[in-house]
Amino acid sequence: MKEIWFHRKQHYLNILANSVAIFLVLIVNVLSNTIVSNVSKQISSLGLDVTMLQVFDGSQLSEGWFDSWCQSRGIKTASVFYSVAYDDYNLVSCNAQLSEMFDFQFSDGQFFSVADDYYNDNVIVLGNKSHQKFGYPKVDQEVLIDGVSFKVAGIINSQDGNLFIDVDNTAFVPSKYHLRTRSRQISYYFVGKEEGLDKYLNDKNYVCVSQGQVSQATNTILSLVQKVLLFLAFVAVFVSFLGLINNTLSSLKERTFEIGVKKAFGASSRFIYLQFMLETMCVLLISTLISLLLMFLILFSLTKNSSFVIDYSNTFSILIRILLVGLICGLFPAYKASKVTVMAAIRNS
Amino acid sequence: MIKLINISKKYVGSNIEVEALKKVSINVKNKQFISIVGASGCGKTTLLNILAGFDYPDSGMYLLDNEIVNQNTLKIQVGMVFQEFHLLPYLNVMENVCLPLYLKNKKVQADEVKRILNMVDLSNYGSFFPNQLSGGQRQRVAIARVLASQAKIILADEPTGALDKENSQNILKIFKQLQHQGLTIIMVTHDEHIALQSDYMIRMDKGRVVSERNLVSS
Ligand SMILES: Nc1ncnc2c1ncn2[C@@H]1O[C@H](COP(=O)(O)OP(=O)(O)OP(=O)(O)O)[C@@H](O)[C@H]1O
Ligand SMILES: [Mg+2]
Repeated sequence: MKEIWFHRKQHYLNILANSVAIFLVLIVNVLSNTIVSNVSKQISSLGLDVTMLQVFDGSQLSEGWFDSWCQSRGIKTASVFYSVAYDDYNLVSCNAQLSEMFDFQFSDGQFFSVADDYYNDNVIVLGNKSHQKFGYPKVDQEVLIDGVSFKVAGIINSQDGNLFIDVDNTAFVPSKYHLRTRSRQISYYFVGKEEGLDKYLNDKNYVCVSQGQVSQATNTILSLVQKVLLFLAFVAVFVSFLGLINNTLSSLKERTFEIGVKKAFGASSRFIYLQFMLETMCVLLISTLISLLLMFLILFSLTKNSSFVIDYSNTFSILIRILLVGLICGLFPAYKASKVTVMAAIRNS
Repeated sequence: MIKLINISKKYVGSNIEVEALKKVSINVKNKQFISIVGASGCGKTTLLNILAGFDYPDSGMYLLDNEIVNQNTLKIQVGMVFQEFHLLPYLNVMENVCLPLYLKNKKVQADEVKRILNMVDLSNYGSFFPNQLSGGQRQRVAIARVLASQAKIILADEPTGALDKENSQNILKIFKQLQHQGLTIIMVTHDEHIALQSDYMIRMDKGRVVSERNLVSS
């Protein structure tokens, strides 16, 4: 143990370099885990069971195709979707089922009903922000769009946007409105709670995009990025370990005397070997502790309220792996040290 | 006790070839205090290193108690006192003395260590570090270290080489005392005066033993 203290100058830089490198790995790991988990949490909060059908050229399809398309597949929850962008909100024409698919929560009133959808196109449901745009109308009051007045049926609570709809900034009206006022070419449809739509992917007329697919794709990309970053951080660790090897080897010259004297008084090669391995282990452990400390310090000082995802078992397994690699890096210098002879030591001093 | 028969040692470098020892034969009896003298470069240190097992002869036989030496028993029986002391700078006197015990994983017996430090007159210096000691004190620490290793045979390569007269005499006194306690001592020196105080003087020249002289009438 005293050797380590005596040779501490030799170890300072090693410890610093190792700490920074290990810290890099830890922080990259935590940050990327945090990002991945936040993104996937957000995606999964949207419900993974809504599929969007994007039709390339609606003019080629007959008027009732979507109804019969759904019927032939036994799909009950489905909605057309046509969005018109206004200055500060989107006007969406859709069916009553849309609310169910996206699980809207209402601060007042409710979504327009299936009956409204069929018979009464002058109702409107407001997202939280569009509600504000229209000057906070109450339920059953009227709002005016393009000279047409709509009766407010419900106001949706503020909610995270999902992949397909920015709910807060949207006002929803029955599909009839669109069919009546604009072209018949609706190009988006939503289908809910339906599995296996993938097999229609190759249909020439439309493409299916499900939230599950999107989230899967996002996860794949994110975890790739995560792996690349982690890899880079591991490279940093490896480089710092190479420094450790180099440093220990070059310190052998100075320490030949010490080793020689110990051997002259009965230390076996094995003893010297173990001593050097122990030193390496101490350097590694101290580095690890410093890097852990650094990580916690930085995480907690940077962010007092936002929560990081620290996967302890994952962190632990990473640290174990790093330590193992470090120990392997210590094998060669320790072997070299154990081979120093008394003669070499006597001659050099 | 120790018998060297026709020991030869040749150092082969890239551009040089030195015959450091040429068929050296010596006999050392138990509890004898032997000195080896000779000019610089005649092979004294080489001989000691072979005796200590730090180096190996190219030919010849090394018998210890009538058996061919085995490195493990050698390590237990033989201890070396170096000219430059070779104390570890980061250990204090006590720890330096106990080093052989640590290294062999033996238990440190406080009484024993105290006795040894007393013998070399260093009982008050246990917590000093080597750089806080004089040359003579350092050499005595080195001797104490050999004693702690419980070696039966003490090899000393110019133990007085770095010391003044008074300190040299102190070291000699200690060696004689150790001899009385039953240890065998082989000391290399280039100082005739010191060699004359031993029991038996071996003179070497150019890798050979040239004369032997018994200094005690028995
Ligand atoms: N490692 C070595 N490689 C080559 N030659 C060596 C080596 N060690 C010793 N020699 C040579 O062997 C010869 C004997 O050396 P040694 O050290 O035994 O002399 P010595 O009698 O101890 O001399 P001194 O009194 O100066 O210490 C010398 O000529 C020296 O040059
Ligand atoms: Mg010499």
